[in-house]
Amino acid sequence: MLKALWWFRWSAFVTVIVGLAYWCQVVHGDAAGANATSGVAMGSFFGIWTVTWAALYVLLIPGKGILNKGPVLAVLVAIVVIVASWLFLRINNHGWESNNLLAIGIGGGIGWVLMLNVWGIVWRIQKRLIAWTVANAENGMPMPEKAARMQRMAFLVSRISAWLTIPLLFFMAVASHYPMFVR
Amino acid sequence: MFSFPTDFHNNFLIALRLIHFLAGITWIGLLYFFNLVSTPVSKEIELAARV
Repeated sequence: MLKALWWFRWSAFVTVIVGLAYWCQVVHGDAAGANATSGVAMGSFFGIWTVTWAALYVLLIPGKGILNKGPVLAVLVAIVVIVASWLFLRINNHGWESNNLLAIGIGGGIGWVLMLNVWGIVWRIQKRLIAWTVANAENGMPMPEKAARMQRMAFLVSRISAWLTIPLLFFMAVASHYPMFVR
Repeated sequence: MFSFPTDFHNNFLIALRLIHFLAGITWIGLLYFFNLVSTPVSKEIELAARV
């Protein structure tokens, strides 16, 4: 399982870093073509999507009651992501932003959220759960009380991430196959 | 019949896209594996076998 987690984290890292390098080229190209600067597109991308990730994380912290129910979380996550996407389109509305830029700005933004999920939540939790599970199997050390809650949080984050790959892949394909943001 | 771009910039972008696809498939594929296979199976097996 550790091997799978290694590939999981590092493929996430490579995907996002290489994707960001590509994104920079797209933004730079669009902005240069219009004699504009890329600051707003870059700033709004990282700003909006990092706040989106933080908002999703905050939703999962209570881990009980209504915020522990999958369907409720699904609706809340959908609202947060839709608002973030709308805001990104609203801010980057100068007329020079291409379909490519706007589609990747949303799809890549969701990818940024997913990478923060992997590195900031899932991997941090799994690392500790694995250590506790090893201690439990080898020395009979009981699992700490908070293990069950952490496992639940990792599960929810993983499940949310899996669902978010659907809009992520949709907008990635939109970038080159469906010019929906062309005015 | 076909040709690759001759300038560095466009070849660089092709390389970025290809690496992005491969790493992205690995990433999302594992995410689906964890959600659809690993988590359901780990509920059925013993604690010691999970690591």
